[in-house]
Amino acid sequence: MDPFVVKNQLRMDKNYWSKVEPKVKEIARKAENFQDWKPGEVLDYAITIASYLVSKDLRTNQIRKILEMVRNVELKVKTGRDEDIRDDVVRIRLLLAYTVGRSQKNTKEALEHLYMVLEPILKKMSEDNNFAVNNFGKFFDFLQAIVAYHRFLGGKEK
Amino acid sequence: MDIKELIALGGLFHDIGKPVQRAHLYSGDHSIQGYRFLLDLARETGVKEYETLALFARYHHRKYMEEVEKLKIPDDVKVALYLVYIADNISSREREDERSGYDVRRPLKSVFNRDLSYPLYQLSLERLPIPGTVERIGSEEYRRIVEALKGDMKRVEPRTDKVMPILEKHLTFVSSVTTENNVISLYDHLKMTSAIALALYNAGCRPRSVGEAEKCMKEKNLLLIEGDFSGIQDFIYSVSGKGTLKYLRARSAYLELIGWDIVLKIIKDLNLTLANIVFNAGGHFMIVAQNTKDARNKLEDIRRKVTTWLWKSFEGKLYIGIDWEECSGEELMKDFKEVRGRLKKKVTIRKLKRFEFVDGVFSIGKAEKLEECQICGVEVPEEELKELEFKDGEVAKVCKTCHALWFLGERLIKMEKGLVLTDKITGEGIPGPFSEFLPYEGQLQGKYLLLKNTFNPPRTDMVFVPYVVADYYREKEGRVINFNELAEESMGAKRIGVIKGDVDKLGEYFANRRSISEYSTASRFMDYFFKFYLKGVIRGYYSDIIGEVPSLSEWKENPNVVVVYAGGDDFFIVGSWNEIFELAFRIREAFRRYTGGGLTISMALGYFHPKTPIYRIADVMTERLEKAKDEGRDAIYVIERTGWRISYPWEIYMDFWREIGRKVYSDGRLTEKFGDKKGLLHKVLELRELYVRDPRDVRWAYLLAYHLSRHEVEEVFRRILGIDSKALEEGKPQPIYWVDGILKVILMAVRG
Ligand SMILES: [Zn+2]
Repeated sequence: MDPFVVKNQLRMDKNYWSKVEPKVKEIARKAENFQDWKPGEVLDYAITIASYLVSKDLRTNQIRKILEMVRNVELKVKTGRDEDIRDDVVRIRLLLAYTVGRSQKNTKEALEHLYMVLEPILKKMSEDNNFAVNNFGKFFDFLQAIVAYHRFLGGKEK
Repeated sequence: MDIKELIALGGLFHDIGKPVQRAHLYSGDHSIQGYRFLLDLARETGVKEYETLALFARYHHRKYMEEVEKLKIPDDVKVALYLVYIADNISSREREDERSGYDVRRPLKSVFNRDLSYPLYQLSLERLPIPGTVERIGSEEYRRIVEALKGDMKRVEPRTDKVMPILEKHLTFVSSVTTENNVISLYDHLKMTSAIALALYNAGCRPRSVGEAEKCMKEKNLLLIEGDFSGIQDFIYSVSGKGTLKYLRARSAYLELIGWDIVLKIIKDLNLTLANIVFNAGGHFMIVAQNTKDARNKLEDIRRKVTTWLWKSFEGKLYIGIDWEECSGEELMKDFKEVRGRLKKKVTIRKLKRFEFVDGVFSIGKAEKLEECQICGVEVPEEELKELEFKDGEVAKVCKTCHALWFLGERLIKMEKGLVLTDKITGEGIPGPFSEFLPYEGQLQGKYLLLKNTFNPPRTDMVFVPYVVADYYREKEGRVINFNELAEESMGAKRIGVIKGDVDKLGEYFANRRSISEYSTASRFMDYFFKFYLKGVIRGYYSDIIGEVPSLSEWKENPNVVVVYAGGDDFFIVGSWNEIFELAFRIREAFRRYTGGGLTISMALGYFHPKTPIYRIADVMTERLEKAKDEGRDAIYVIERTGWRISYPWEIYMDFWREIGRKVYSDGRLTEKFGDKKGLLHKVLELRELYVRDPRDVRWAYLLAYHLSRHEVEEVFRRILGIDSKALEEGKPQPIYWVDGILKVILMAVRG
């Protein structure tokens, strides 16, 4: 997927989100098999989701706390301490649900769709520590990619 | 006129009627028109010999040969006519594809790409000959060529050495036969006909009829002789300490002269002319001679002398394999590939055997004490060493060759005119195996006069040999620029730059030439690119042909460049690194157009501190060029890099430069957008490393998107930003893989 093409379409079409919404829903369905996503797919999905979020005018500071928490857990996994991270994942899930719940009308829909995609992955992680430890790096990449492309596609921070 | 000279000239003039006929100057076929042309020349110049030579134009086709017997001319002239007839007859058989019929307007096709053809013009440095889609050549154009040729002919006496350069200048782009796909230049056809006719005569052939002449052609009367140097790189570059740039240049010129000395000695001892030299370039030569016991003995003798001399002078660093193969004239034309294949094998074996003739190679323990020359490392008896005082006051003990080269080095490079090869050993010149070489400024006398880069014969009794050489050097305060100055003159990182390059798969290309005339055309065209046109490329000519290339600064008319060696199919050039960088692409584009895309070239670039020892530079460059060849050829080693392929296919580098390079850098500095973004460029390089370390990881992709968009330059890097899924499927690298060679070079140019 060419991020430049997406960027252009976003610029031309105020209602771009309505076109990608079905695609985001499809990604949410595929989240069930997150472990099977190929590297290229991770990027393509990240671009699609980022474009949706930009089109809905979501600002990244609205999910800043979630990002911080994910980064901390990633650090924990990376430093190799063979720990149980299920509790950490549960905390991320709670924070994510809380963020969606308290959000304002205009960004609520954006966050709901992000939730739809991330929640199945996080759920699986909180149930299976082995799965969690093995896939957290990939999850972190995925989320970082969403933020990076959000920026690339013209999304704002605040 | 000596009969041998008559035969040689007869061969050179026999087809002069071809361009004359195509110019519609007279009427009749090309035999009649050539005859009339030469008779007119005899009348206009008062040179009687042209009347005799006119007979060779008149009688060289079967249908006219019956009349020869009845002509009232001396018997040996008749013999000469039969010999030229048969030499031409055989070389005509090489011509392919006569089914297409003849059309006098057909141009010469390119020997590098048979789909393209040449316009008709003179050989000159100002114009890079580019084959294209020339449909036909008009009589008007032929008329101009023939008139210019005639004008030049009037200025010289009828001697092979003086006539050849004139024919070469005017007839190089004239097709030898106007069938559909002819790639043989008329000049080469004339030259080979002359060579074969004379060699047959020297072999003892005295035909008095067409039938006897045909017999001469079927018997093994000829020798194909080949010589090939090895150790050239070692010879030129393994100099220590004080190996300055001008000294390197002198050594490479010296090597070329040793080659000429050997070739000219063979020609002289075997009673041949310069026409018999098929080529002599890049330390490699080929000669057509007679197959007689006497000739073979003389060749044995020359080989022994040369080998011994090389051994004594350079201790085995430099060696030449010389060998010969007997064949019939017919084979030379029809089965040239096979004859040459056999000969090449012999030469290769000869090169392996090396110094087998040298007496005393293995005798150790001479009484005298040996000491090393401090420049080239050769061991010589202590008393033979000479003292050499450098500018810095240091004194070195060097061998007599190094001593001579040191003092003549500057003169050798700066000589305006050329060189004389003389028998007289004055001790002032540079010693060769048979002669002494002295720079010529207009007075000297000797056997041969090698005049630089001209096809205009001088007024002299010496034998004139055009000495084509890529002699460009940057002058500084009246002398050759040195390494320190080249580094000083460079941009950003103060480095000298070096390019080494050679043509890809050339051995294969030459092994597939069908006839000796085709071989002659091909090797000449190849050599001239590096000896002749390369200089034009350096001077900044042909820019319309070269087009836009990666560039770091404006190209000057006198760039900071010194050609150390160029000829045959390879070259070695040093200069300020940024100029050397651009020069590589200029040479490649010129070469691509020159060969009509029929051949490719690979090169290596290197950037060095000016104090780096020469032999070290030479080793690095050899390694890098080999890398580019191993990685598939048609490539350039731009800079050291990580990953699974180090060199760049030319097109990829130029593409990336166009798309990214020139948006980041232009007019000698970073563009406005990037003026304060060196850090970002380093970041991009870092992300590329991330990709190279684990190509399946995709973090680089989104991180790149993130950083570039933060700096609002994502458009510039569009090409490398996304993941190319097709490349992923095909197992090819992602575009980001190629970006480092562009950015590293730019960062080097803006280094403070
Ligand atoms: Zn020496």
